Amino acid sequence: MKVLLAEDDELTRQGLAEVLASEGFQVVQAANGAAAIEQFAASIPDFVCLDIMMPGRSGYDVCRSIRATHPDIPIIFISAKSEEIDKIVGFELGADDFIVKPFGVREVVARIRAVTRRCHVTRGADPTASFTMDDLQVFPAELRAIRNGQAIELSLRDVQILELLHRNAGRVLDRNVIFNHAWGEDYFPNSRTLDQHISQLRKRIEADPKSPQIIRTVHGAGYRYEAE
Amino acid sequence: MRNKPLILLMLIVGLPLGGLTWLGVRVARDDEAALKQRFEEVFATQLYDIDGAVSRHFESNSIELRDTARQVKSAPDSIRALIRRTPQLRQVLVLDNVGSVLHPDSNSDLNLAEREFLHEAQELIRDRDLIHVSTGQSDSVQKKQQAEAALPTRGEESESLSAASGSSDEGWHVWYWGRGVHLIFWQRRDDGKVVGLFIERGRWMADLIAALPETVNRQHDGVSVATTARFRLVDSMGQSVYEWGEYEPPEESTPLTETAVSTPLTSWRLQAFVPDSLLAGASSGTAFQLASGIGAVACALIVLVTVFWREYSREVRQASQRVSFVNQVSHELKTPLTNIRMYADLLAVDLENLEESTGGKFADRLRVIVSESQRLSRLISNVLTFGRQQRDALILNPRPASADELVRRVIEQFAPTLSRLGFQTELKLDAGQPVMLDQDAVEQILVNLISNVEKYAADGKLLKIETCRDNSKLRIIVTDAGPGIPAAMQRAVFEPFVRVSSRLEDAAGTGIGLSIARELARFHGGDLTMMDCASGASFCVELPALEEVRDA
Repeated sequence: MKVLLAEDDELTRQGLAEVLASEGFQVVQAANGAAAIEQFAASIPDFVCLDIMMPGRSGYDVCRSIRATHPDIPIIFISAKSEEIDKIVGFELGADDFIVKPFGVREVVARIRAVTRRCHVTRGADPTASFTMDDLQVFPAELRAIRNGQAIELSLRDVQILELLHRNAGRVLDRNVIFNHAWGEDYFPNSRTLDQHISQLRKRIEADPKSPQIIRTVHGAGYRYEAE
Repeated sequence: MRNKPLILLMLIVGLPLGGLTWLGVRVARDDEAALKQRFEEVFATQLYDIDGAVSRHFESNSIELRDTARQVKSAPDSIRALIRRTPQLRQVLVLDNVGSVLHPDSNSDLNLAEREFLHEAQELIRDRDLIHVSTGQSDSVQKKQQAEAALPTRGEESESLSAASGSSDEGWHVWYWGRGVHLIFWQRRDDGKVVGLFIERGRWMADLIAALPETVNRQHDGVSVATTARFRLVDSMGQSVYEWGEYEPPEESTPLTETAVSTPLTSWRLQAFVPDSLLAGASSGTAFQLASGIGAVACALIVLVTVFWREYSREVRQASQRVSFVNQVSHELKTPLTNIRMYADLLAVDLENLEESTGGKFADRLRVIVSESQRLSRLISNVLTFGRQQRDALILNPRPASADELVRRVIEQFAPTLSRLGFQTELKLDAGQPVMLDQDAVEQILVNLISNVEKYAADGKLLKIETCRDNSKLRIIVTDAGPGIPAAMQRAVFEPFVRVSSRLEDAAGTGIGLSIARELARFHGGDLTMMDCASGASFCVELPALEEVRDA
């Protein structure tokens, strides 16, 4: 999935881009309102994160312009403007969420996942569709997995990796295959990135991360999921 | 709520104007009434004059008729001869002292005219009107004739005039018969006989009209009354008998003034009609003066209110700017805080993957946190300085310091940001020996100036700082190659909360940076001024270059 991120403060933009990328999104960045409108037209993202106070054209302007052509695309405002009226204006313009600065990364992640779920639903995905890996039931559209009635929050990338492994059950998947599927081909490859991500994912989905049952490491080759 | 002062101001304009108009209208109306009164007086005088002419006419007529009456003998033939001789005489009635008719005697041989006359006058004869009138018992007659009868008023005069013939009394009597009014001149003789001369109606009317002053040439305020008015003689029924004057009054119009005609036609009235336009026209000058007066006052009030309104809305604007200042500050504070928090979070995530992380990455992130906290503290210190300055609580602590070193240190602080934005930094430092400076204050001045360059002149990608020493003055000049400051704003930018543009879309800022910098420079015994330059903006900090502690 592709996200357009418009934010004039460079550091904030880079930080957010990193957060979004680690969630599994392909991020298109814009440093001001005019660039945001341009980038939107060029890439047609799946959803949009907008700062309000930007040089050139404000986030409100950008939102209006996007809504004119794409009334259904999810838009999240990320702004230091925290007055009630600012939020009301944002929602009036059709925003799906409003994140107030300063924010914590976890809050942003939670809100982005919520919007992604809505994205899936609006695109016609069945929120109840699921597949089972060992004792774990994965709901891809919901970005969620359930084990013993316990819900586990997943990122878009987590779901993509699990789906790939499940589809190719019993087969060893090369690191590059997984990487290209979950990160995209234009992403600068770093062997550590995938291993670190798998390691983090195991901590959440494996009953015992020390001896993983769902994502197994095949030394020198890659990863594999073994169906029962 | 915003409209409340506007409504108030409109009331301030409206109420006095309304009052003034009301007063003006009243004055105009009074004026008109006074004018009307003057016209009434003028025309009353006119009518009085006309009435004078009428009564003079009847007076001279009565002198004539007195002689005629004396010529009346008892012989019917001589009376008939007299009637033939006197055209204005229609018929003669002779009564004895109790009212019996002596002539024309119905028992004798009467001609047609006499028979007709007796028939017409039978009521008059039966009621003995002439006897009552001539003996002064006219009450019953008057009542019967509905107060239209004439009283003999010139008894004294006639007495003196009638001394030769021995007649004691004479006068006019009005007799109504049919639809017309008839005039009778009566004369009472010493033997009690009463002679009544019945005047030919058409004749006396013609004579009366001929006696009216046809042309009246009195001038009033330069307006010829005769050409602009209408005079009317009306009978007891209100019917116009005769009228003259060029004005045509509309039907049913009421006269400006009227007066009763004197004896004998006391039931008749003289009326004067004047066009409304004459009255209004005469007061239109006043109305114009009034209107222009009210107009002038209205203009003055509107100007006054406009000035007040502008002043007021400026206050409101300033107040709202202060509110937006708070928003701006919070925005300014939140942006760096956001980054500090986010990067701290990211760092924490990285620490979780510590296993094989590289030290360089951590160092980068830590640098971000540090520089962001610096930015935050700069903002906070500005706000605090401003607060202190408002409370007159600024305190300086000058110590010997090198201005060049100070500049280098500030530039170093900005180096990561400047290099990230692609700035080229030119330093030309020649401040010489250390001088007495409050380093914090001077640093804050420089930080504010460089912050502005970074914020507003990033497109120019050039920052030039020069220092120089001129005897007792130390100068630090900060120049950029940005868009510069419009001439109209060059004075205002030093005022607190003034920003070249406060639009949402433009670079964020509090608008207090330059104000604080100038205040600090002045507090330091120097000044901060804008210098003329071809492009971009150039600010000069001028400070006293004292090498030793001044006597405190």
